[in-house]
Amino acid sequence: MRLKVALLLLPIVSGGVKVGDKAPEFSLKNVDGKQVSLSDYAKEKGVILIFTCNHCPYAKAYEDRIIALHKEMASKGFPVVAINPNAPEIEPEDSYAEMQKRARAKNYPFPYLVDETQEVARAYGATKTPHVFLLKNKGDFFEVAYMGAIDDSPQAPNKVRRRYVAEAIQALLEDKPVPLPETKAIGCSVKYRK
Amino acid sequence: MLWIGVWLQALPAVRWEGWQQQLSQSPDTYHVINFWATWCRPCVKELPFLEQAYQQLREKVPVRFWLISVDSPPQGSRQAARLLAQRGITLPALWLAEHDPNVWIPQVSSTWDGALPYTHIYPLGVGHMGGFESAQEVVAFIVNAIHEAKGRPSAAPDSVRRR
Repeated sequence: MRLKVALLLLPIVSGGVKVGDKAPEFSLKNVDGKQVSLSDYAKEKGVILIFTCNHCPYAKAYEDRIIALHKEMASKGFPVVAINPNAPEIEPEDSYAEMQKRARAKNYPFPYLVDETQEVARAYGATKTPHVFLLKNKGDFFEVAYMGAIDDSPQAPNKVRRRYVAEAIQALLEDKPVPLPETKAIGCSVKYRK
Repeated sequence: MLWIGVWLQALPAVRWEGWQQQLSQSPDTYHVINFWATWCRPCVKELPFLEQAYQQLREKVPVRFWLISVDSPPQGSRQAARLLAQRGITLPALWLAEHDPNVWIPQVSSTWDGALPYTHIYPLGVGHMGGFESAQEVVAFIVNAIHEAKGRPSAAPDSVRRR
């Protein structure tokens, strides 16, 4: 009986990864027109994959923190890759042209990729923006090491007490288990096509 | 005086756990709790559907609806109050004064992933992720959840289980 309810109430997203799973490969178009693939990062220790977008106030509130996170972590082997999963016909502010404008205005030091078919977002099970998947390089593939929130304060950058992604990376660098492998993040729902 | 007028428009602020304890004092009522924000398009779209669903259900089911704004401080609570007034939404509305979603979201529900909008039925523990497209969808969600609860005696309030 319970199962029936659960099935009726399942969100549109099917699939998705869990911590410990192999990270799905992707190859998506960047705001500069070039393709970027996960395998391009084979020499890095890992990748901070962030599903984010232009329109969402939470995503906007995190823009500067994501830039700072990249600047801090890229040198440690964990660069940021941002992916916009939203259908622009649902959120016009999340169109490719608007992404290019935002990336230029904020001078993003990381790729900002468009997931036109939304297949990558579905493969990862991204449900909101921002939604982080921290990937660890295991040699010939990447593994999901952490998923959830960037930190504990979506609304106020000056009130951050827990930097969840940074803590997870620190653990990986020290070859220790990630203290909180999964956190709940609030965000705008990913605008999936029906 | 203008300042007082603006101040009066803010929604009452609540912490989740304390507020939920208040709800538990009326166990015969189903509390339909909607998490929303003024900037969230599907959230705003479904507000009239929630209002209509409440009007349809109120005579038939012991149900109360609550709108909980998660708009950002310091302006969010007033913006939310203003939007509800402009759209003629009369459902009781509150503003959530919480910090870390990784703490308060699991207190609300173990299945909600944090995407807005989200509608939760207390004490059934049943949730609906994403926006409703019509009042009928809202009614169907609630009625189905209550029917399912009748098959799960431990979670169903007595008043409904006996019907």
